[in-house]
Amino acid sequence: MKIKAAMLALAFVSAGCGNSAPKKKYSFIHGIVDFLPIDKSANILIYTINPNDCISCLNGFKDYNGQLYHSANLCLYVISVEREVERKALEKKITYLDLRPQKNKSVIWNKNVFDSINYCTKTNLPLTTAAVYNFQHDSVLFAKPVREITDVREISEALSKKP
Amino acid sequence: MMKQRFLLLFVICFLGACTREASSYQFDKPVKVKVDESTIVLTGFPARLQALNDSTAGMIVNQRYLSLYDLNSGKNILNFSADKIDFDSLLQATYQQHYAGQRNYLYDSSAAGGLTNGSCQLHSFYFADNKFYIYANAEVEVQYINDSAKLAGSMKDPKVQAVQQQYGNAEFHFMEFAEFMFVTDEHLRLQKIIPSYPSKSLDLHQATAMYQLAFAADEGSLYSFLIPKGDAYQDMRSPIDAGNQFYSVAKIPQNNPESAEFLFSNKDVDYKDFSVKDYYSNTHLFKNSKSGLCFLTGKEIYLVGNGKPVFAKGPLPEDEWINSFFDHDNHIVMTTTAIGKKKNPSKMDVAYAVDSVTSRKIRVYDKTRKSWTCTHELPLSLNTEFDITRDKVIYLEKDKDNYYFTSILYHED
Repeated sequence: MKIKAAMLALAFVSAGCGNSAPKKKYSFIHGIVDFLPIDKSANILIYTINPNDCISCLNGFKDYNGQLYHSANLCLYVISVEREVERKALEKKITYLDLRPQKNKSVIWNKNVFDSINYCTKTNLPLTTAAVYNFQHDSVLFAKPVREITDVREISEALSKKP
Repeated sequence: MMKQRFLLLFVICFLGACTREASSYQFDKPVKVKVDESTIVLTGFPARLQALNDSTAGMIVNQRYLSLYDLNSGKNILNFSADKIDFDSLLQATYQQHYAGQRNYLYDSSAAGGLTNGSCQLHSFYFADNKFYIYANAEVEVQYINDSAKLAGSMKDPKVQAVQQQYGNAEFHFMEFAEFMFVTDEHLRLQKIIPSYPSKSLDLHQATAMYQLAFAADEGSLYSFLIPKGDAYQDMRSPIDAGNQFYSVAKIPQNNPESAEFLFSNKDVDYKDFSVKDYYSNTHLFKNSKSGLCFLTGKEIYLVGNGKPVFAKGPLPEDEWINSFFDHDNHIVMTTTAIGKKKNPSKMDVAYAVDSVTSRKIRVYDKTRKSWTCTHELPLSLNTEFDITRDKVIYLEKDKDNYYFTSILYHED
């Protein structure tokens, strides 16, 4: 009788609580966004920025970012820098306000995060890129290097897309 | 027996480090010197590295400075930036006057430096006769107020047409690059600014000057690498040749740019097996040697003065490209990179024709015997510019904390 009860308990555990069922594997982006003060109920705009990119790409990023009114807690900026000394030097020089630390936006300074996000969005090149990501479905709805985007509406349409 | 085996192993190891094919070159152990970043922090590998003499090198840092360094100590000696030049006035005095009544040029300082407050971007330089020629460009807005031909040409751009088709009449702001050559003395004191206007002579030859990829200069002329203009290729792997005639170099007189001389057509240089990607992304380089100014196509080296080959492509393996060279009397020392297609390329790899590096080498070619004298393997992980002087190969390396100048001394036995 005792054995039967134990078996039953085990069956409940495996079926109901799902402890032994395989866990859903989330993407790298999910893991990053999870810990940021970003509104996870709506589509999130992610810019991965290479500060050494060509001037047209950097201006393209600034142009799109300026045109898209986007709440601070729906946007993530990832800047590709490798060393702390580079980060400090760039932070001092950056004149583009949205990336300044005191702007209280989600800005990550890290080349590995830059590379991993571009890998997840299948734009795995060291280029400044705009991506639209849905946290709830852990899915990338749009991703393109800025140099390939013809019009800001490509991004805004992706932002209003349902996954 | 054991001793013999050990000896044999030792000999094999030695041969592995430097495979001798005919005679007589030795490569010393690499010497690393930390790059001084106390004044300028490097945010990436430099765009161009050129040794100026035995102990000094120049490089374009962060697309903003031409910086000179002592190769023995790594110390940053001098820096040039265009940030103190009033670009608004410069543009009015040059491009605006050149196109007076036809176009309006508008300079926006907030757009000129990307994320920071620079006035333009520096891309390349050339050092000769104690002068630095520094190529810079700035993105500026152009209104074609009375230049209907240029406006009509711009409206034919496929991207412009796509936007028009989708959204009807839209207001377009056209951006162009205003290009300049800054000439300084050996102490980086500015002496002259040469504006590089779009040239009718280049247009007629369906060519665009790409100073940012390769150029040289002397007292009277600029020598620029050219790319074919407006050719729509199917993709990056399409052949660059494709039956069209094009020239790869223009000799542009500084005082009369419209009388440019066109050199090295694809009939003179063997570009048949070059893809678009090969032509655009492999090293084209001008370098002075004892015999005169040389032009490297990535596969071959020619004398600019008479068009004769210094090194023809025959002996170089098909997948290998020359990055830099030094032309000695009997030998040519060169650094090469071999590339191969990726096994599982992503969509982006296909679109941008991204390949894998399979080897990096220093090679020595015997000009008399027409054979390789020696090859010396370099680390595969290097991702940098190279330069070669009469006795050393120089490149940059990086670890998690610092950048380093690495020099490999070489000498004949």
